[in-house]
Amino acid sequence: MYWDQATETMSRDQLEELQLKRMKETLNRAAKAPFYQTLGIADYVIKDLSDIQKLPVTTKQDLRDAYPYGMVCTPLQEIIRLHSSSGTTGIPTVVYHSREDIQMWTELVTRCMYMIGVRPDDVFQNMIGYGLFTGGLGLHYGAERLGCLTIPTGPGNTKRQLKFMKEFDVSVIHVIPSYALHLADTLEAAGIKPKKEFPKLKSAILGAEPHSEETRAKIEDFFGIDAFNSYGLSEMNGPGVAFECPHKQGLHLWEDAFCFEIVDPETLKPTSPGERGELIVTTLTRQAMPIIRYRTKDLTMRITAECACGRTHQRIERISGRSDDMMILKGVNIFPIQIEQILIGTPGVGRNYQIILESKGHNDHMILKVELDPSMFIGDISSLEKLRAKLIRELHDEILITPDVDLCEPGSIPVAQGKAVRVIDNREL
Amino acid sequence: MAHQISLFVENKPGKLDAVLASIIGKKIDIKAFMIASAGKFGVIKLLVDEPFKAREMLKDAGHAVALEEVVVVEIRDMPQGIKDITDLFASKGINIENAYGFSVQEKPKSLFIIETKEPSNIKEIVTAKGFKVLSDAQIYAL
Repeated sequence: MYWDQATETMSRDQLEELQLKRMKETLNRAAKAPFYQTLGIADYVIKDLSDIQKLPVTTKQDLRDAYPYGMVCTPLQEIIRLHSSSGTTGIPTVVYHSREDIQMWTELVTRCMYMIGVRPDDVFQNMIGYGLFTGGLGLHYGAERLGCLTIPTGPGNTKRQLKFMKEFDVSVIHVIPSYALHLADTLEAAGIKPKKEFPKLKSAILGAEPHSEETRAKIEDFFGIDAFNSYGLSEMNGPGVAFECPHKQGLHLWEDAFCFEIVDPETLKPTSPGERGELIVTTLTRQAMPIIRYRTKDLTMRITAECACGRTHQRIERISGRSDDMMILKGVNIFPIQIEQILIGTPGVGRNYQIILESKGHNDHMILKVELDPSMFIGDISSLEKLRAKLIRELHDEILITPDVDLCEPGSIPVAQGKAVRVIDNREL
Repeated sequence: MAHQISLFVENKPGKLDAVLASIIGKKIDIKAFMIASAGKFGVIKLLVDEPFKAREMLKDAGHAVALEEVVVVEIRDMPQGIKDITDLFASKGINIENAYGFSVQEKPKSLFIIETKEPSNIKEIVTAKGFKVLSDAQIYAL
């Protein structure tokens, strides 16, 4: 039941010793990256794991400021891949991987998949985006390493997904939770019974989107399968950071590869066990681009109790929210600033806006309310319709989803004091 | 030529009422009124006795408002009346962006209000055919 029993069940003492050793190696490597040189990372001395709290944190903004190569600490010829955030207006967040990094990432994903019972005779359909996004390729490599017949369908094209699932006797799917619910709706509307249609289907890996226990239960009940929560972020490779074991009581975070902290997002002081806070993660094995104390902005809690599965790596609770204003829609990470930049660059609209997130069936849907700039109004409807179409097109290019745009009267949107007013999330998670 | 006020409004209950509150009861008289709707928003078209003053009042109230020239022609108040003028536009290949009309009480005539983008000598074209093109003052003198 273990892919790598020695590592997965290592005693806490051994594991912490390994972490300390790898932490020191990480600092030595990081000291070669221009960004960490500037921070004087070589001067920090780590004697035990608690010393990590003395190290500076790294933020998404730091990664952007270091664009393109300021975080890289190996010669470029040793790097074999990069992944990047999708934004087109701002500076992208880029993460570089050496061959060893890709191997380690693959190892972690394979470990996760094996943990939930995926075996070489399984047929795995990967319905998550390939390309710059890490979700597709991450699981793809893990599934191939494990030896599954891997079907790289990527997202969308529901008819084909269902056809492939049926005709290739798919047993494991990787899917964003909202899309799993959409598949369920489609099947239900067609009167198809999933247990008859997909007799071999046994598990779903739910990734890229926070979701509730209720959503998991819905997916499990409808398809008659087990669904497992997968957590990752591109800065920490992507999927394979933390994953549920068959007991589904929190996600084991692989502590041989990452050192994690839970802190108060305001003070950055560690929260007491059982208290929620922001997850901070340090890479322990990354060669090309080590990241020290990365602020994920994801809110969670550390679970210190031993797990019945026998794995010693501590667990985190399912992600309960964000400490910043990032939204996740259809698995895509979106920051309000991306929308603001489009508005600033579009004559005819004001800068005041409101984002309303809704569930349309089981799909996420965004409504953007934006005020008309009175000085640009020339009186005809066709120019307003053109403006609306232009906004929708440009927003789609930037955030990869198609919002509804409502043009509103000047002064009709409350002036925002913070993210709470800008974004109204009416979705049922 | 006469001037028409265009006013952007959201297509929601109470919006129209709120907009009109900025001019009605403030010595602005509305002669003609039309709403062009496009889903979640619309544009109100108004012919008023003092269009420039009304525009300033609406602007001060924070509304998106525009003033444009429109062709207001007198037509015969009879079934054939409207066709006299649409024939002319059709024969000259001039597109009508927007149009509406109304009858003048106790007079055997109607007014037809036409928005068009081209050509710039539209007034000459219409008057050459014998139509009377009215100014703001003339509309209110009726």
